[in-house]
Amino acid sequence: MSDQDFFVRFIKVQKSYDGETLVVKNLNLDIKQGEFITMLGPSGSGKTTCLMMLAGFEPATHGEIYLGNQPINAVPPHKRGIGMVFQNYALFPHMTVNENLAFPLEVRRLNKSEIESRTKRALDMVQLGAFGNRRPAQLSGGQQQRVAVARALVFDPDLVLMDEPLGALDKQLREQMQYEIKHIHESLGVTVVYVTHDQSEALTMSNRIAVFDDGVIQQLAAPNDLYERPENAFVAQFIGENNRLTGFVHSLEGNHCQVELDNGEHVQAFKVNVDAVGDRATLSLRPERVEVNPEVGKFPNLFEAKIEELIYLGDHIRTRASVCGHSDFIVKIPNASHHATLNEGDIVKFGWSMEDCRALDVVEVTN
Amino acid sequence: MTNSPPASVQPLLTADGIPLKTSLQRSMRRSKLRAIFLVLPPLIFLLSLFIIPIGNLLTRSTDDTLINYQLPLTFAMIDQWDRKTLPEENLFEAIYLDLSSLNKYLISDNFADSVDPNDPAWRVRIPKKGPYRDAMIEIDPRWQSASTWLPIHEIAMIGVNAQGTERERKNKARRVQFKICAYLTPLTNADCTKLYKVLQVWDGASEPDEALFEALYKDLRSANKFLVGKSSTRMNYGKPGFKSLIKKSSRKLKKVSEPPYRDAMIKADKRWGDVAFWQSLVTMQEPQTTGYYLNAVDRKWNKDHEIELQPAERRVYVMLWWRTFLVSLIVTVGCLILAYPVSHLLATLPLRYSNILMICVLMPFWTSLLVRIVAWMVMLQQEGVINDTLVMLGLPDENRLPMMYNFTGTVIVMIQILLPFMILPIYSVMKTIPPSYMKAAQNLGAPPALAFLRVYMPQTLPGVGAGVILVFIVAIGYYITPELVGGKDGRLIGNMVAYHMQKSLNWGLAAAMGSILLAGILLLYWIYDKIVGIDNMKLG
Repeated sequence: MSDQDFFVRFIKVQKSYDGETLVVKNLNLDIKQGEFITMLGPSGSGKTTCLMMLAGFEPATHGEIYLGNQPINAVPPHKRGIGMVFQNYALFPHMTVNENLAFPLEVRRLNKSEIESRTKRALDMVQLGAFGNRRPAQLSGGQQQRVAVARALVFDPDLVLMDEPLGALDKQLREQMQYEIKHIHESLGVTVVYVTHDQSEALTMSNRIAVFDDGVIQQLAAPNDLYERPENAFVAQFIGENNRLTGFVHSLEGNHCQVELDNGEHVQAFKVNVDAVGDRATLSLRPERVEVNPEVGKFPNLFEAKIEELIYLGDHIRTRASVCGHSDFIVKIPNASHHATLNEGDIVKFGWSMEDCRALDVVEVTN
Repeated sequence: MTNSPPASVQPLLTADGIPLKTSLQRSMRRSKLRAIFLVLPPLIFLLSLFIIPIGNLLTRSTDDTLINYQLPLTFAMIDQWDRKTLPEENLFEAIYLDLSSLNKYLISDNFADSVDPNDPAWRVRIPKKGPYRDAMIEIDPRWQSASTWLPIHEIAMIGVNAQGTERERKNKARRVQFKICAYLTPLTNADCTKLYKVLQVWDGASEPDEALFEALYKDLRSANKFLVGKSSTRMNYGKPGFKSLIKKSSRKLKKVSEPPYRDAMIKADKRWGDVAFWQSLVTMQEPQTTGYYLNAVDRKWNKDHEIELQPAERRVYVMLWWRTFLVSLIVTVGCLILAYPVSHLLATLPLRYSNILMICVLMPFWTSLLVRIVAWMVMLQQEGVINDTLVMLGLPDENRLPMMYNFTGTVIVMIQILLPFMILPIYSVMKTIPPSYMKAAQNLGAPPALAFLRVYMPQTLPGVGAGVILVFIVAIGYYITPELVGGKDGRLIGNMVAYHMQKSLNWGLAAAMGSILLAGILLLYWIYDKIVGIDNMKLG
């Protein structure tokens, strides 16, 4: 794949606000035309800063940003032609919805009929055709959100940035809007860079997700890769739920290894980023990949577990058990008809495959 | 509470059978009472220090009753005069009697329309040296009965029966003396000492004796002198020179006591032979006058009840109104131009810098107005800091800029003083505008200048409107700065109001000017409401 195939490129971009600390450390990111890419990370991880640099509101301290093969570091925001949906929508309160949508077209000096037809088309796209004459304050949060999306798209930009656009909506509306934005993206083929701290949002919508932490992209991958094959402990614990077992690397063998846990048990794991025998390692295991009382010989890892707590959640039963000295080992047992029922205090066997148990580096985890 | 509800409607009852409404009223009574108590102090404050003074101002600006009290006969007869030729003897007699005789105080029907000029009572002469009783009873027989004197006696007894220290009793007695005069005449500041003294000895029942009448005569005579002085001032507003005419002729006419008066008066002062003075009297006839308002805009009533311009040398106010308007406008625009960027900085700078800037803005607020004005005097005068600097930079010494005691000085100093009134409302509105609007506008393709004009500025308008109204209203009535740095051509209408309140004592004119100012401000407010909408105004 040659360089020309990329639509947006960050090359060795660094950003500092105070000259003492780097908010973004050596960012390299290539985005393809038509891609939906999400920058995901906790607050303060530098993802919004990256977006602002791309939009032109913050200058990069070092490095180059390319848009369609043109360096845009020196291009002012209004000449970049990038659409953007702001966190609180930033709909102009003194203009009606129609005027808000017409604004980018008016400053581009389009003629009146063109403006009218485009405004109408954009409003219809977000199913708000009847609301053109209202002020933003007269719309609900979800409607304002749609207007903001329509306004970012009405002048047909090739790139649209979205800065936590669904943060102010309630859960149900948020999920609905996720699908709508996804469908708009698919039908228009526009490139979207989306910033969020909500992992389910990222998993739902994106082609690829860049997980940010501490100003660095920890992993850039498609949603399923990110979830199933996290490359380090931060990504593993940030994306989805997982059980963490800690120990030392006992032996290495090809792409897998054996880890001796702190209570002396040995676990067969997939080797991801542990390097040498004797290193500390974190074993990451998704709760839904654990099987209760498996057939003997099915899994290399089979341990005794004591059921501590059962939480009924409808579609699955969240089970907390003591395994290998960890009392917060979580297993999700699907609420399927054939599944065995457990009781608190039962002693059972937990088994999991080597591939599902990933041996990662150790991070100081606060939560 | 005890009202029984209409029989047809079954009232809602609470659990223990009391009507729900009663129960609700009872539970709300406490909070209602508390609300009233909380509102009471500002309400009293507003009533006593705002509504009542303004009402008083409005009545004063049209009140012309004093002159009607002074000249009842003249005004009753002046309608028969042709207003072109010099009046006949009867009008001369009328004005002579009105000015010198005390009969008007003694006749009960002595005001305006109820005056009958042919009533012989008007022409009864009270001998100067007495006896007074018979003549005064002849004027109005009711003075004969004790009941006519009783109210005055009652007033006097308040002073006699006053309690407290000697000093307090003395003050009370003095106030009572004024009250007696206020009862007998339209004057509130004339002093009826003699009546007070004799009323103390009178028992309040026996037939009034000569001593009472003598005191009444003497007190009324001194009160009349007072009233003549006041009304001649009022007549002077109608026709300059009237005051001196009356002063001069009343001295000379003391000797005249018999008709005919016409020749005697003209002989005493030939201005009595000038029709213009008589014509000006016609315009004072109504107890309510618009004369003060007309005067405030350089106009007056003429003898034919038409509005005409004042003579050229007396036209000052229209020019002053325009100048006041112009200064207010320039000051408002100047403040706006200076305040807008400062407010923007205040609203967008990081907190620690904006705090310092805010202190800089508010510092003048905390400094005495006089100190600030004097500081400006140091800056602006001919030998002041600015001129010295300019001379140092090469301005020829003889071309030093006149920036003080003129229009320029007034404008410069007023802008500085009123600047915070513009900054604060604009700032408070700008503070609420998130920076994302400007970002969004630029992101949508608007260059910064256009984004500012189309997106940022319209949102600041409520603050701008509030600031403009505030500064304009304060500026239009401004007084102290023009007084100190205005000089001759920096004087504003506020200075004229102060002048007429304090120096010329023409309160009617001052009140009329104040009322016009008030009306002007209300008009501006109304226009603002029509154009921008009061709801859109944000004061903070």
